[in-house]
Amino acid sequence: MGSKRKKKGEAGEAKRYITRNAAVKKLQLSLRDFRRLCILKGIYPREPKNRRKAQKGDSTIKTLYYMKDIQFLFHEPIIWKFREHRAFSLKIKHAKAKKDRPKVQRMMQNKPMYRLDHIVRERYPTFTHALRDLDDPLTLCFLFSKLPQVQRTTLNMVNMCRRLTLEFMLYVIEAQALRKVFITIKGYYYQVEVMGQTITWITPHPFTPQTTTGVDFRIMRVFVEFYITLLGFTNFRLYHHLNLHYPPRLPHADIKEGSEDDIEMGDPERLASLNFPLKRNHVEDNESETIDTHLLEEDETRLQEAREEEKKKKQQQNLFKGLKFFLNRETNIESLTFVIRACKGEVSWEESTAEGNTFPVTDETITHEIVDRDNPKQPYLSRYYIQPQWVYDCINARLLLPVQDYFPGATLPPHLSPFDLDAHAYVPPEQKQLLARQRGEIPEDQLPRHQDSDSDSEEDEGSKKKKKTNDANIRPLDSFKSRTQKRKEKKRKLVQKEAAKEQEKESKPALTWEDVSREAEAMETQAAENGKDTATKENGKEEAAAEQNGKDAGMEEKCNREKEMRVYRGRVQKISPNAAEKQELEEKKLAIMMIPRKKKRVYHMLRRREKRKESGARRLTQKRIAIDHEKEKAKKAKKMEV
Amino acid sequence: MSHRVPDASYDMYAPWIDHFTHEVMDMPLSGQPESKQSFIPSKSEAAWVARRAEQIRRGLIQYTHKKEEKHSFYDLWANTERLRGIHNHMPAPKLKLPGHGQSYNPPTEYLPNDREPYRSLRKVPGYHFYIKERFERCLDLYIAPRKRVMRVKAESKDLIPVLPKPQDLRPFPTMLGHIFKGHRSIIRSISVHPQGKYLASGSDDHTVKIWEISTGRCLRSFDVEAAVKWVAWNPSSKLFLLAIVIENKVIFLNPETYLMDKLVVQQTNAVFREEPDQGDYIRPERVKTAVTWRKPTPDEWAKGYRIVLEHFRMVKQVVWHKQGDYFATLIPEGDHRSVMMHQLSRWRSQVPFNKCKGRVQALSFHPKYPFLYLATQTHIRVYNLQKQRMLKKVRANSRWVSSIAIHPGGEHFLVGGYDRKLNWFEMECTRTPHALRFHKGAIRGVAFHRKYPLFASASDEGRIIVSHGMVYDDWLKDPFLVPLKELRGHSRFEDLCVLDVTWHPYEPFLFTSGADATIRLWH
Repeated sequence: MGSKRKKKGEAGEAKRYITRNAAVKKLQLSLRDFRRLCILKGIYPREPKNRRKAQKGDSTIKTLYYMKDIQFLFHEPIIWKFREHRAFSLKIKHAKAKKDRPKVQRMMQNKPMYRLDHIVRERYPTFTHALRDLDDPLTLCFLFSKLPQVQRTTLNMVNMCRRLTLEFMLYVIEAQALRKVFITIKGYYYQVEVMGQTITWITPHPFTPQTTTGVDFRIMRVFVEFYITLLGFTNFRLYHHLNLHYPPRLPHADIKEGSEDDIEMGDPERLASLNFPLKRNHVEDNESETIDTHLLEEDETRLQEAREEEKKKKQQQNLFKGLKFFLNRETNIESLTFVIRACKGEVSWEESTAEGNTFPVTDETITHEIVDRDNPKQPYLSRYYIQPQWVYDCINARLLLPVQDYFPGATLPPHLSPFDLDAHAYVPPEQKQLLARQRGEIPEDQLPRHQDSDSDSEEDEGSKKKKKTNDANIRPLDSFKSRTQKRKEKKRKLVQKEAAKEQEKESKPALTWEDVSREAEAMETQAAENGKDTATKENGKEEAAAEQNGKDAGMEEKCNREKEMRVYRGRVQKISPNAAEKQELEEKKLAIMMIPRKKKRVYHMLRRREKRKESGARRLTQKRIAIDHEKEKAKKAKKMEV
Repeated sequence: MSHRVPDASYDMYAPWIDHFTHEVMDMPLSGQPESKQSFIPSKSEAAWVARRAEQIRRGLIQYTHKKEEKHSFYDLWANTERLRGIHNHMPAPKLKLPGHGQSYNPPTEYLPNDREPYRSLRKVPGYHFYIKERFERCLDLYIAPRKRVMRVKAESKDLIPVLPKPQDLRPFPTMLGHIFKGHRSIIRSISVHPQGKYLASGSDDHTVKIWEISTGRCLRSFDVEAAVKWVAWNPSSKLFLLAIVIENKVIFLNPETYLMDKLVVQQTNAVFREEPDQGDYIRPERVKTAVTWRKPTPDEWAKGYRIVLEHFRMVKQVVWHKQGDYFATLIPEGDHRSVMMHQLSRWRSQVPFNKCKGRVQALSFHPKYPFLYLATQTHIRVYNLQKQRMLKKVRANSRWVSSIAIHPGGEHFLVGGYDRKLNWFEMECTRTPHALRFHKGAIRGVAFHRKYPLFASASDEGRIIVSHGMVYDDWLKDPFLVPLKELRGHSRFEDLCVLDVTWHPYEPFLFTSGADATIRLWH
């Protein structure tokens, strides 16, 4: 009678999740194969809403998969490939034991193989999805491309990774998609914008990455296996989008008569291929506006902003146009070539360093030579010798920064992160300066913002010469002038004041109403004192401060009026300088009281977060002030010695 | 081998005669005929061949091996058919992007104290944990349980409601005007004369003081026997009378000041010179045992006492009805007789309630109708005194009510609690009060202004909050509440700070009395 009684663990959360062991059993796979399958298919464990319920009363933490995900895995054809592979490995083991070499050979030829195309297609239903998820693939592939070709199992993968990452870099160069670069202690961060999607990846510093304990390469290999497939397909699509051949046809490959695809490119060839433009099917002129104007039509300001942004982007894309760079061999040639060519610069290097150099050092049209030594020889006056950081900073700033700060041997200005743009967080003064420069408040050819006494001493003759020529135009002359002018003005004022005082003494009639005002003022102060009592110390202080301020203001006024040759006495205004600010603060405080209770929790949470940031910012500011103070002191001491 | 042959005559190098060659000889060596079998094709072989041929035909054996390529790329997304993907997919969060601090050459303030910056790019070493970090990311991608978490991206200032500027809602008190000094102990209660000229205050130093508001001078000071709990001016314009509460007594005082209209003073004295005729009225037992009315002794008369009302227990509060004839007293420990009504003109008292549930905290009369508001610890009860009925029972939304104030319009009331809550109730909708969390300490007093849409609340943390409270005739419209000003000034004494707040009857002035023995006027 009636409905069936409900049992525990038969519906709801308990049925929605499955533990890993149960899933493995259900799929009839080994744990390794299950792991492999999960990585390839992109299945991950999920956190249940209620662990106790999901685990049927057990509260120990277990890895829980979504039941639907496991059911989804059931239909995966690759599972059969795994099983085939297992059968194959048993058979081959058997044949090897029997020393049946022809059979082994034949079987090896027929080794079961699987492709991951359908999984890529399944995981990324559209191309945009694939682009959106390209960060991890690129990072891992770039790492594998830097690995030594030692292990036989990874050899193919490493080669594949080299090929695909190179192709991607070439695409970025062709599309001029590079937006940001940042050198950290971990490696190089690159950010590109491909078809509206921002992709960021990391490449390690140009050393063979060290392996540490606790790294399981088998797992990484599975990832890379999938990523190679994904990256290959995305590259294909990207190249076709730009009307480029895929796999790319490199001009130098024709010269060398190497086969185009499947070249196992070592580093020299890699560099060479980076330095040549790709062959195109036919060049299209897509200079048309790329902003989605009809979407922004209603909002004029947003459209304007978008246009501005687009303009800046164009500027960044053509940042090094017409400039010729020569890279010394101690620099990171791959990174620099990639970065400079992505901004339309021309690059070359010593012939002995690597293949692919386009012009020799002796070329007089070279504008910049990138050097990373303390005291390089600088035989050419026609070019700047600069440190590599300049290139990266210019790209992030989207304009050509003054080269003076980056001369060899100079103390470099800090390399700022282009990703750190939080308004609440600390903004270092260099960043502020940079922002001002971007807004055009500081003219481009202004003085080096970073002046250190030691940098001056360390500079070489050549650079000094250049500096002198630069300095002659801009150097503190202006500031000196202004200072002297100010001093003169001060003197003039003093003289005026004295004159005015004398006049005051002489001209009695003018003082009649002034006396009245003085009386009134006295009255006022008295009243204020009455109002104040001992208990209102704070108020009293404030008022005193206000009075003081008012007097100051009065003095200023006086000065102004003295110019008009009239003598008045300043009136005391009882407005404290930060009254408006205080008022606003108080209003805010009162308004906060009116936040509904539910929202209040969120508000306090946000406030806490902001406060944490603010306190961090404050700490940094204080540290900076201390450091600057220390520097100033040291400078003064040095001057004194001199 | 020693290349020796046992037979000496044997020629080791004699020419080889091939007797059985592959060449067919003209004459066979043996005369045996060929077997018949050798002419018949093998059946088993034929079967084997046939089997193989069949297998080849069916493609089971591939001798020309075509190896499928592992990587060959094409336009994968050419067909837009949507395949089934992961149910309710949660993409992995992206890696955090590095800030200034991670730069190889960060601004100096980001450097830890023990680290020197790399002075050039050449000197930056390889990162030791690079592979490890990539591996950990891989682990995170496939082994870390994922969960959808809602992150609030808003800024805190977006949540602050937009209120009108306080300047637009003037007048309201903004600054300290006077400080009335003179008491030597906590001032428990203050009361402003209905004409707005005088202020009475009762303190723990056993004095009642009368102050002139305009100048802040103390006009008179009365020494009484004990600490004064409550003071309340008679609202009638014909009497100049102050009710004060001391221990179990309510004393009616005529604080004759030279500034007051002499006629009124004399009239007041005249009224109380004689006991009213009680006629044949017999006081019920319940009242008789609770209250006694008596005339003051000559000494007391000289001190200004006009009537003394002695209760059976300690009295806490006296509340005047608006006409000034009736008043109610509150005896917190009086059990069922904790609220008593009295008539001044006839010296009569009565106990309005047979039962009184809960400990009564505060009393108040409705400004227009004969209603009495009675606040117990957790409830507010509204009684119609004429019909002798309870009108409403309201849950106070507070654990311990401390004070109550009725809006002059009569449709709203404010309840302050020791649990820091201030609630604005509408009579029509008492279920959902407007909870105002203005204070961080126990609320000691709340008050409405009689004329302006203002109310004030004071609490133990020392803040007095003046707010704008506009009410509308339209019942559907919520009252418009805006906190306007936060006043501070009273100092703390033994965990107490501000004890009482009152408004001036017609000016936007606020009076507060504090534990620091001062009264402050804010204007």
